[in-house]
Amino acid sequence: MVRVLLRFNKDLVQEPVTSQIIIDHKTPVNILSARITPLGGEMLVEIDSRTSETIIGAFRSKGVIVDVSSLIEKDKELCIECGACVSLCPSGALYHAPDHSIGLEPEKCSGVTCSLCLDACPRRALHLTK
Amino acid sequence: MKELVESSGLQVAYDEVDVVTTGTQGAMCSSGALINVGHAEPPIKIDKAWINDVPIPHPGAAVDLYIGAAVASETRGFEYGGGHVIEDLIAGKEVDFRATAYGTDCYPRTRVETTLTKGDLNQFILLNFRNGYQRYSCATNGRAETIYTYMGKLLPRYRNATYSGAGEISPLNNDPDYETIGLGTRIFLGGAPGYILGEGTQHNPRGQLGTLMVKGDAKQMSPEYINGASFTKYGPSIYVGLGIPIPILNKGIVEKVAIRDRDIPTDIVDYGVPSRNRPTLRETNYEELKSGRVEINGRSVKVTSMSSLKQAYKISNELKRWIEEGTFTLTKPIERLPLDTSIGPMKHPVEEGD
Repeated sequence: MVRVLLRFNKDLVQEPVTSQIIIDHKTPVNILSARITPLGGEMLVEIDSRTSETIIGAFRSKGVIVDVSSLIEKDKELCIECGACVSLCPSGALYHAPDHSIGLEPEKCSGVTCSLCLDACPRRALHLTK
Repeated sequence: MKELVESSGLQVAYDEVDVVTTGTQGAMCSSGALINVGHAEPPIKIDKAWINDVPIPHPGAAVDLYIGAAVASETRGFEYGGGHVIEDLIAGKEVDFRATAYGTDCYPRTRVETTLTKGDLNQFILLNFRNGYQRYSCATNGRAETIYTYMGKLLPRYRNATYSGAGEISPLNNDPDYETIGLGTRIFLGGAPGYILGEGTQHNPRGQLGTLMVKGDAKQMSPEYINGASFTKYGPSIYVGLGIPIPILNKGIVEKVAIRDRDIPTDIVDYGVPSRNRPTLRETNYEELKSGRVEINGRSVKVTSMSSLKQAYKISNELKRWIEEGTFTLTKPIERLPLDTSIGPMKHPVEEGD
């Protein structure tokens, strides 16, 4: 699966963009998190890696901004393995490993649509990937 | 050691083990470093000083300064503070130093500006007024909005909780009667040998909340164990790596070092109430806290540590290695920490309109 962030402007949120792409391409799109207002919105979705190129192209042709990487990453040099981030992570992407270090499973991370951990790291070791 | 006592009993543990090492690495705001920057020509009696734009208090003679870990930068705010200055100096980095003065007959200079590394300092002594808290409250937040505290970011309506302290491997929990700990005890501090100077501020042994005042030569320390920290909307601080060896002098000490996380209780406290007397929601213990989930108001919520358990284990192992190699020897305290004191609140302050 490929995880992508879709950004919709205020005109696009009036249209059933995602549903139309699902129908047209007969492909499932797994919505992990969404924040939509009349002014625009963001959705983190998972799409099948075999059709990802076509689907990303379809979203882009409708004017959606597709960001393929905006998840949390951890700077190993800065992290002191405290855990200030772990209780904030709703998806379990950040966790205490059995050896007491702080693990990060990017495939579980909701990235920019969540970001709860970002300002909680006392070492500023967490960032959104560029 | 704890497992040995459980599996083989006190006598075997007493016969087999000479020393138990402990460790902790948590954020301790009441930390800092005493520095002597040497005299300029002509000399200056410093009135105000800054390192990397962090104000550096000047509590004593002409060129003695105290880098307070919790002091924030005037240009970068909470993102950089005294704790970061100390870490940068320990790491061998060059820092920008400037100072002003009113000028005296013997110290005529009124301004000075230079760059410094730890090699340029006559003394660079980590001197912490309060470290090594025996245990600490578990924090949560009952308010309708997220709050930012020294116990980290707390989500609304008790949706997460944080705690601090290494529990069963934390130093003071392994010698709660301070039989081996006091003035003169040689310890692991920031990756180098250090010493206990006595009780720390807010030392409260009656409440099982003992604290330590410690010092050590920061020039020998390592940035692996001394880390500047920024707490959003709270301020800068510093993580201090500290380890204490506990010599097994008698069977009573064996019993004490056998303490487990489940034997160390603490309260879950609502930090959403901004009062000196924050309400306690319930009692918990370090075993439950380390499990990663704790029950609050009938709901299981995520709880995590603000101090580094990984570092705590690393410190206790490193100290063990020093002792085995013979590079670190144990000392007997000259005076033990007080056991019978407690702390009080501030005398009723004068309020507006009083």
